[in-house]
Amino acid sequence: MSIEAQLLSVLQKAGSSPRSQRDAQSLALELLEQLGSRDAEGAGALVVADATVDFGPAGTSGNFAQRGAKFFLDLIAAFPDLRMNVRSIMGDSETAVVEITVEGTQGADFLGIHNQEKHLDLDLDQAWVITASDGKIASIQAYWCQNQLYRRLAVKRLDQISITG
Amino acid sequence: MTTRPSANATKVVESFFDAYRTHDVERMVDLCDDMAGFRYVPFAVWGKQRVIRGDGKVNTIGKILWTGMIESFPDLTNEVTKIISGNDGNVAAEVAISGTQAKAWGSIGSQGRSFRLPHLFVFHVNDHEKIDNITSYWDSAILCAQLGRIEID
Repeated sequence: MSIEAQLLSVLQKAGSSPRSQRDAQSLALELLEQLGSRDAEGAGALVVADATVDFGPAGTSGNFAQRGAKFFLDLIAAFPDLRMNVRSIMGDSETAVVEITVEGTQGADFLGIHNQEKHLDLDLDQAWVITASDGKIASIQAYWCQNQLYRRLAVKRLDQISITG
Repeated sequence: MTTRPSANATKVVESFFDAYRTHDVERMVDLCDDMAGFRYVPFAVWGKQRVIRGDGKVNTIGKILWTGMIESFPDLTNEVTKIISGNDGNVAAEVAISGTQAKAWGSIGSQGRSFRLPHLFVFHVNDHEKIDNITSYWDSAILCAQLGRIEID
């Protein structure tokens, strides 16, 4: 099945399912859609407050209310034209694995990386593992290469993240 | 469209990591289709005139990278922490890979340090129970920090 057909199938299921019955794949797609729409509140409404989040490359892990919500806000603030493009999605009712490309132009500091006002473009392939329980997101584990992000945003050394070249 | 029992695809993936753990690269390759696609998303070696990326086929770039990794980290091992099976041969695996560096790996010179790093692998297993696509994600910044390299290529 093509990725387009997979996405359509999952989205149709999401649209027709009561929120309490939403599975991990439909929740994952809705989360990414909300983030791409710069709606941190809408994204946060899909996640239980004590969900475990691990955005490891960003050094952000813990529960959603304390760490994850801020990460979403920072991401949206730093990239005003943020786009979360889904490349593939797979999994079962409880766990979704979604491969995405995160794109945007830096408009504010992000993870300690200064905004140089050079309109540096982010174009970063990532994969998120999202679990669901009782129709809400119960955990998010994100995988990406922070060195690729640093390279895009002109950081030269791991010990000088805030000094860009 | 054929729907395969996900258990078979999962077993193929488990066998792949068993072979990787015993450094049996030939077995790893044998578990893959001859034309299997290969993409190690973070992998890049930046030369003066070109960048070598971990993007191609298992039989070419994949085999070379696995062999080089084992040479550079002679105690290389892996721990599969979670396997997620979808329909139609899709399997993802969260895997902790670890090892101690004995020689240069890409642009990372050996300081004799060790690493342990979570990876996500996304596989597709075909009707013949062969892996026909591998994509892997990890954070090279953490890998470099653990191995003592602070420059970003």
